[in-house]
Amino acid sequence: MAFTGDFTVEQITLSDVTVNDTSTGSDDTITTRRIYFRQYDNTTIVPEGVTTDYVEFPLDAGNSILIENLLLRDYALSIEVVWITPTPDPDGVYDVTKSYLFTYYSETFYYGLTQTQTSSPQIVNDTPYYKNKSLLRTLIDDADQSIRFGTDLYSAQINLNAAFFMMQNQLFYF
Amino acid sequence: MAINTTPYPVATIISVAKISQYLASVEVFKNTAFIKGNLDERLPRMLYMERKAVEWQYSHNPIANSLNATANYLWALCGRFQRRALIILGQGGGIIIDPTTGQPLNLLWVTTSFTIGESNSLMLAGDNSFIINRPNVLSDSVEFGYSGSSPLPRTGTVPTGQQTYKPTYSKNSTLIELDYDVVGGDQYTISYGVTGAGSVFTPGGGGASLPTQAGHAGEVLFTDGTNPYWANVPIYIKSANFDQTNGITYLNDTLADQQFYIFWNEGGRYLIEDDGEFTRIAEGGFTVNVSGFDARVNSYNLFLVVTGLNT
Repeated sequence: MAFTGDFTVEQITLSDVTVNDTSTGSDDTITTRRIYFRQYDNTTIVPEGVTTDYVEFPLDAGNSILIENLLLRDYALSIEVVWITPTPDPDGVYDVTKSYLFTYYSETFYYGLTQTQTSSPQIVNDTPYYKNKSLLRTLIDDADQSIRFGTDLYSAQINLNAAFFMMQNQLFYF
Repeated sequence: MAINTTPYPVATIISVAKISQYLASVEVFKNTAFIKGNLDERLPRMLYMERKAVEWQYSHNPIANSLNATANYLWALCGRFQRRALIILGQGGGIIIDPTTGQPLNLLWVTTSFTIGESNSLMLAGDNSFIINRPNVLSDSVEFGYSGSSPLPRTGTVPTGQQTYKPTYSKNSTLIELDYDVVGGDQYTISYGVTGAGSVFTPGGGGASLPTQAGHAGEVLFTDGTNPYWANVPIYIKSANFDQTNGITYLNDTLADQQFYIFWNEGGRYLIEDDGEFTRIAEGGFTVNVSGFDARVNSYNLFLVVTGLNT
């Protein structure tokens, strides 16, 4: 059976992700795997200390690798995994790219606002507060739908950037 | 007072919030159109926004301590839509509405509150069950829980470990069993629907609910026209089962006012009531009138078959 590369990515904490190799088939000539995390402008992000523009996913790591300190804010990313082999099978698939949205920072902040409301429910009557919270929700949802329905990294990142700005300036918004 | 962390599991609250959101949307529209609005028109949006927050946290860390507070907050936001949402989810109580009129015709909605330890309380501290001694309580209508809170979930509808209750309905009473012991001072409210006189609605579908089934394996359901009960068909009767003072009388109160046939094995035939070979006893049982029949000195085997007909 020809090798067919595939993978999933899961955000474990604010900054850490796990990449799971869910490939089918086999190819003994594969020597290693590389993971590229690309933004909408094609620039790549890697954890601090990594000197390449990709994260190495060695075979001896097994089917899963935890990549720490990768996400220092929310991102919409095009993630590419490449299975390196000197003699690829023409029927196989060795290069797979998928789009992912990481909103842990925004959602955590947003959830924190809801926690605030449990102890100060009257705050929802503060018009700017709730209007801005509603805007934050919209930005997160827009980012989600940009990826889910359009695989549109640019639109998603624009929304995430706007949400990031609100969080950075929370004293003015909330 | 014993306090639940959340009135329902967080997953249920999230589901209730989703339903409440569209119920609120409709309500806000009607409210604005016809009553000039006394409902916060932001409510559907608020339900969405807060539900999304709780849902996100629940999907990432379902045991987060903060979920109790935020889920309760979300639950409170659902407000007047909680009960309707629970009914839509199939977890609510309530009574039957006649669809032709929209009214609970011939039905009565009863609500009673009591405080554990007070004189009129239905339970004492440490109890875990009580009985509603009222006939014709509608099956599936009972709602029970802490006063001022939403009803507790029923046993089996939520994961174990939560406070739940189990109602068991019968024609003349309803048993409420809790899976915990009540604490003195706690205030509870129970509500249930009752059929009125002449009602066409009857609990349990066509009569009373089934009597308790435990300990009645292999038996069949009988009725005396009012009360259902389990009994064996046929009943195997030996000499030892006869009244040993006369050897001809067999007593069994489950046979009261019942019609039955009796096969006498040693005689190789049925005993014929019309021929006077046995006489039924109104309180349950019969007397054998065959000449020479004496269960005190002879070994007999009789098989009694209840016809299911009353006197």
